[in-house]
Amino acid sequence: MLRKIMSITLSAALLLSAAITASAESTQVLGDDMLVSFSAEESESYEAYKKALQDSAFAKEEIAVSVSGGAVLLSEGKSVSFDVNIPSDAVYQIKLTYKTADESTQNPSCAIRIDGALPFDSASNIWLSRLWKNETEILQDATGNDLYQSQIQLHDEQTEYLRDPNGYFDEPYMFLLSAGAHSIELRSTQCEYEVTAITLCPPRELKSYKESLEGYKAAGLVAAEDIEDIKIQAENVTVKSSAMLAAVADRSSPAIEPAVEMTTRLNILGGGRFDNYGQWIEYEISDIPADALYQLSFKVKQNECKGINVARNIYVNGVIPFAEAKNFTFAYSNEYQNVVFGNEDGAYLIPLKKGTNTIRFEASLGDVADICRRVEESLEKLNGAYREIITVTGTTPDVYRDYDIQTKMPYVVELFKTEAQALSKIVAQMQDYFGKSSSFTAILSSAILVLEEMYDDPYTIPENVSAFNSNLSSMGSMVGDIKRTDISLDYFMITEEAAKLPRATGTFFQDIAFGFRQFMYSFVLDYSALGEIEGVEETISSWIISGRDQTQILKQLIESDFTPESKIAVETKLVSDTTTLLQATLAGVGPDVALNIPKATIMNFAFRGAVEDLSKYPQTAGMVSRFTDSSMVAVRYGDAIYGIPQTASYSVMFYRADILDELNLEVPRTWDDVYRILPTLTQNNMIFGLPTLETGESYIMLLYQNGGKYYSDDLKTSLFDSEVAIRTMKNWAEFYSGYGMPVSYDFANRFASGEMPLAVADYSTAFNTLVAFAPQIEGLWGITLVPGTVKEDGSIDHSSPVNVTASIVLSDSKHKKAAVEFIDWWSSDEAQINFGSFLESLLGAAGRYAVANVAGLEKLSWTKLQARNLKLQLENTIGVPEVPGGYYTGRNINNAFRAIIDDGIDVREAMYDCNKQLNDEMQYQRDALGIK
Amino acid sequence: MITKERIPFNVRKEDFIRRVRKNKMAFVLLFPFLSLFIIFTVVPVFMALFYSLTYYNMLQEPTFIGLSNYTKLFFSDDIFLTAVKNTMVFAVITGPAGYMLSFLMAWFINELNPKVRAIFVVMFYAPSISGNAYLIWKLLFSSDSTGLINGFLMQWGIITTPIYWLQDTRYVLTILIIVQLWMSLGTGFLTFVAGLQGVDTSMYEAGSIDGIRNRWQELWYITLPSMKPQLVFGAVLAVSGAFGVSDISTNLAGFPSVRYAGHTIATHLSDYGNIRFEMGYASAIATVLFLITILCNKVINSLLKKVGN
Repeated sequence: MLRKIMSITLSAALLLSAAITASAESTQVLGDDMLVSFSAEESESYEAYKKALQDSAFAKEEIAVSVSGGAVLLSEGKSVSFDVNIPSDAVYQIKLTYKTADESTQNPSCAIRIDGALPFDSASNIWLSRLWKNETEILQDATGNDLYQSQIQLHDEQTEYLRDPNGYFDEPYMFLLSAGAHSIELRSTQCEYEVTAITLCPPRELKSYKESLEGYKAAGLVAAEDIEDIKIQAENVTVKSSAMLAAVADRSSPAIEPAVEMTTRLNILGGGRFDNYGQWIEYEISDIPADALYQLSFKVKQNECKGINVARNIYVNGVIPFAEAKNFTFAYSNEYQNVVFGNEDGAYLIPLKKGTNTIRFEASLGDVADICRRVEESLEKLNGAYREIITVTGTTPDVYRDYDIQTKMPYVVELFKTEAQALSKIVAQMQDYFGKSSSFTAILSSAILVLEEMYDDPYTIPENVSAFNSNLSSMGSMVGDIKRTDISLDYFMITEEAAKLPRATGTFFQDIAFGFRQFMYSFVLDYSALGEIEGVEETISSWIISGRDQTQILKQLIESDFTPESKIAVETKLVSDTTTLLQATLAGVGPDVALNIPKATIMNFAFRGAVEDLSKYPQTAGMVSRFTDSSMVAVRYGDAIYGIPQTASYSVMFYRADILDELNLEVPRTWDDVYRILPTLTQNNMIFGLPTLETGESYIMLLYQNGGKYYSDDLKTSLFDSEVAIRTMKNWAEFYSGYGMPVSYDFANRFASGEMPLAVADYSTAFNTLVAFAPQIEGLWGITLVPGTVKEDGSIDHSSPVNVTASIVLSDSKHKKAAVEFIDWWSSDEAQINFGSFLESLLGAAGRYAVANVAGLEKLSWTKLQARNLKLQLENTIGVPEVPGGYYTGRNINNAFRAIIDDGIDVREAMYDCNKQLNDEMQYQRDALGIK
Repeated sequence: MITKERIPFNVRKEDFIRRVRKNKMAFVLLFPFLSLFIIFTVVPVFMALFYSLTYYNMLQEPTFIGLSNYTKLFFSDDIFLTAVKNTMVFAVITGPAGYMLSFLMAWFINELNPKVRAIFVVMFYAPSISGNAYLIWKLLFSSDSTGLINGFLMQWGIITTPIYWLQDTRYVLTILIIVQLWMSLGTGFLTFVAGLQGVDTSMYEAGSIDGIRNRWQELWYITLPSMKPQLVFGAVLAVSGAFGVSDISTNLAGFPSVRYAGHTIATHLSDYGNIRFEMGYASAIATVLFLITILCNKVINSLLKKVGN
């Protein structure tokens, strides 16, 4: 399905010929626009395209085309056209000059079309980079620990070559343009940026170091001598491509600079973050003594990728100086080591000018690129074969049956043979490159074994189907892992040739002394201690149920934003669960404020008078307006408000655009659509994922969409004996008993393998899991509203329940006013956005924060499309109120559900029984708690 | 050798004080343990007894309500009856079976040479020292079609759709019993191994002169009577273990388990204590569990007295 968006064509001036065309139309948002499209446009792969242009001549001259009027802003889906006149048939590379225009952390990307057509398939998704820098130097908190640096985005103009986002092709994309006029259309496929110009330039061929050296010498440059060593600490990076490339702490050795036993020092760059193709860091070095040739050396640790070498491109003053500076490799080592930029024969000297220079290190794939590309190619073919086989055998074939695959699809068997051979070649090549076998070659070898067995004896195919599938998924994750080329950099040095380098590791005794001191300090340091802060009038304590990084960031935000303004200091402590909170409250040593508390706990505390009712505070109305009504339902009881939401998670529908396209199915919008496509899915041995009560809340979703409710308006009785509740339960149970939807399943695995192309799942956990564990399907899936129910008036009800955690003030607190002020700050748009983006810059997209604040949701790094769907779903969520005895509800519904599907008990009977037990419990709790 | 001195009940107060004076040193040595024992074991038992007569939600002051917790427990709590039933089935099977299994294993292993014996002891004891090692069973009995047992059964063509082992009421209790038996070679087993080695070998010699005809007689007339303390200790552990099962059920079958299929008295207790915040009612359950355990121990001890007779 192709997106039908009208394109903007803006006048573009051609510098050489000054031919101008102009027309502009605005983009229309269509219904289809809400979905990720899987481009079915037919075009060849870049590999084939590149092969075809092998004999063509390279261009001689650069052609630069600017946008008339200086610049054009491309938001998602908009495009700009450039008219160019090519003097003669030639091969060009394209450079784009642009500025990013939004605050997202996602990569901007574009699609490029020449005369209206994609030149090759991957031209539909080309990534551009962003510019980031540290907002400040590394600062310390009151106890002397380094604080994480906050990151700011630069919107400076940058010029980048259009190239393969996967890094499989080393050089920028080549485009063959015939003589005459062409129109080059550039469309933003993600994010918003301002384009000023494109440049068509002749492909650049790098000289070897030897040749370059002669050139330098001819230009009068000599090797530097008698200079002082210049040491640049890696954490002091000037500009970088990603917010994740910030300083982190490594406390493993006394030789890391700076190393302090007592406090945390952010002293390295990397540590698992500098691991994606295309990420780069740039340093400005201001004190080069003279124009000369210098030696470059690194103190690095490459301890993540055993069995492969990690590569970096080295840019000096914006260009790669010679061929050897491309894909310079670092071998695996457990400890930091000094690596001199060079080979066995000596260092490669780099030319630097007197004064300020820039040096940039860019993550590249090196030898791995070719391997990844070929494994992925095999994987694509084999995945196709797998899906074809399971249309006949199903995912769990009967091994005693002869499916006759060899006569039904002989090409599949043939494919196994060719791919086994292809994979064997890759294994041989890897051993050749990296010298030994590794866990990566082991994965391929095991796949080869299975392929060979299936080829040699096609009767074994049915019994090998599941082994085959697991081989495919480990190959998929192997490609992801092998591309993660992490290194940690402590510092790098610019010295004269063959200078003596300082030791990279501590001596044996230094290590022991360092470790011992660290151990002793661990007894005396109080990590939650607040230092002296000037002007503080009041101190409150706050507990958060969360992770360590989250707590650290919260602390930093409080110290930088909240305390200076309010004069209230906040002592923040991390607790593991609500049990701790209960015990502390019981003992009278609880905190003033507790953050991120699940809704059920809040109301349990509230019914027993342990939580402060916030409705009487003047700030509350303002706070409440930051959230949807549905998020507030669970923390209200009557007129009282017991908490202010922090996170909100809810279900959305995840879909695999590629598979639905293959099956010719549309993404379902209503449950009727779902019923319609279920047969097609089943025929292809695929399933629809609908979570049961244990993992999700699809019954609530269906019930509310059909106009039902959990409890009566006065919250005194439950309504599971109503006609709509019973009918819904019947339909819902039928999905599992009649339509064969699995009651329990592993969403991430099945979604990634393609067995479950459609699934309703909680957006935050599922999104984070997919981003972290299924990079192989990136760009092939999307999220949209859960299927809805058509109402009588024709509108579609997409209701889905929302689950919140919230901040509370405890009744025992003696600082309630200050506590409310703190929550007011914490729930504000600004604090929530800062927290969310800080967290993401620290943990990457897998650390995306399920913020309840509506304005915050839009400002986190979702793409426009995702943000729009998520917001739309959030607006369509419903809140289920918490009642005394409410813990009984989920459990009783689940029991009823199990009784129906396992034991075949009559739906009505099961629901009556459930309703009666629930009502009794609710009544009992109300009496016991004295709630009228 | 320490000889047991039984203090007769009719001893007079002065007598008691005099004896304390006389054995001052013994009381000083006893003090650290005794104080901890009283604070953390004796006092809580009485506190539970007290709270079982109140309504106490942990956040507000307890209110005295007499015996109504007990009447609710015995007369209107259906789920408690399910829990009692499950616990009884559980205890009757895993208690004796686990106990005998421990003893048999210890007896067999005792015949091996010391080095091999050490290896076997570690192997059998490992499941119970390694904390939540039983979580491995979750992998085996995973409900997904890719779970180990489901996977194999489907591969062998025995079943065609996955069985929801830990969610299906028909299987839950059986699986829990299997796992508990696997875990039962614990401390009791270790004391049996120690006890068997402590038996005086000259007794066997004397026995064979006195006319012991086979290994069974040797076991019954010599081995078992000479390790009675260990047998009693093992029995106490087995019984309290079988009645107190809750972690296994919670972690494997979920909490609460589907339709209370794996609900035991101990999980019922934590349901009220941790989830519903009804400490009074939870204390009543605890008291009942306490009484049942004591009763069972009495019965077992009297059975053990018959050993060797």
